[in-house]
Amino acid sequence: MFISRMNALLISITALFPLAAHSFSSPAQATIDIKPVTCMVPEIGQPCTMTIKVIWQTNEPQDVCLRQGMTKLSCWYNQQQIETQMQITLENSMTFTLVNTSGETLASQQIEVNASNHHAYRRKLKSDWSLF
Amino acid sequence: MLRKFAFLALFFCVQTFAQCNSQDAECVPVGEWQLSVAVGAGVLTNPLHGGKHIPLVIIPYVSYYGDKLFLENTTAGFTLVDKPTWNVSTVLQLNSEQAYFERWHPNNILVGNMQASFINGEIAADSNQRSIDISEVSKRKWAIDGGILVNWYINGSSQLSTEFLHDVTNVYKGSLASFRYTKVFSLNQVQDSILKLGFGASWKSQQLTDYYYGIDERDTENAMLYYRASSGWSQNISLAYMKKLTSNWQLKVNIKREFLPTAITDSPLVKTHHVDTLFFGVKYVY
Repeated sequence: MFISRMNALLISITALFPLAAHSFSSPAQATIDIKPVTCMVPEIGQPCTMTIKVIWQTNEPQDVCLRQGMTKLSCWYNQQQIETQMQITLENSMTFTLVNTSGETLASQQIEVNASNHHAYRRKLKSDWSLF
Repeated sequence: MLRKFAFLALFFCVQTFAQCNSQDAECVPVGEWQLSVAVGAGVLTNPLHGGKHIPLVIIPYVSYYGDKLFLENTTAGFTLVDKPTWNVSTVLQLNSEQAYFERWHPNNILVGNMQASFINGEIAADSNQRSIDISEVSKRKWAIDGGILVNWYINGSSQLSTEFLHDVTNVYKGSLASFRYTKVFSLNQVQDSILKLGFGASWKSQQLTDYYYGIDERDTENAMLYYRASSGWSQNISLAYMKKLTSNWQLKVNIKREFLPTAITDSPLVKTHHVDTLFFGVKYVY
């Protein structure tokens, strides 16, 4: 009696397992590699334009898009791995993200903007002359 | 009180200053002296009897901004906190009231000396006939004010600034406060040009107005001219236009009118109710 109940329980668990495993699976694993990782400008605040090499791959073919901040740069359909080049323009350091059709982030990478002539700037606090 | 102030200063000092865009005309590089000179035609009117208008022909500008310390013409300051949308600084600056009393032209003459009665800021109906020339009164001294400057950047084009200052040189032994709103307009029709409109109000304590505009026995033996000024509010409106001509040269136009408080205009020393500033010229930035 006890053995038959245990068998029934095991059968139930075995039957439910594939469903449970599917329900709690994480989003497809992905990697992204963007080079170069830094864009140099003469002074902070100036826009930086450069050509980047993007390599990404996922563990299964799917529809994905590459975003620069919230701006969509490029999309691919039913792809598992891509190696491409594209031109970007940055004013500040930004994060590039690979997202799926649900908007989930699969992978991301930060591209820094650095100044070769690194001057710090601050806001003027007074008008030129009080008489003006 | 001093301990509280020291604590607040220490608290604010650990804050870092906000980064600024080098392309913005309101941003300056840290650790560099900025020198420029404006050349043109202009005038700062003098509201005092016997006071000559002050010509504005060559106007030098000098400024230096360190991490915390700064110098901007006649103002020196120390920034306690500098955030992207607001900042607080302690400042020391020259009080400009004395400028009207400088005897630019020593041959000033007494404008009038009619008799009337007055007391404690109130003046009789025939006050316009009673006046005294600045050459007839005792010398006023320059003063340096110290206090707090707060700027609030409402958005990319609007700014609110306020100052609370006290005479630290013990010359007039009083205080003043000012509030100023400025709005910057970018003119799409004219490249590299901005128009800045400003409205302001300032309060001057009784000690300040009375030291500079009051009349007593130190000035004249004629007791009929004695005047004790009260505190008062003035208002001002200004318009500035700047256009970049080359990397070094700018076209510069400034117009400003300050409406003086009755505490000042009622003084026998004062002949006009407002002070105007006009300037038209070019500015060279080194």
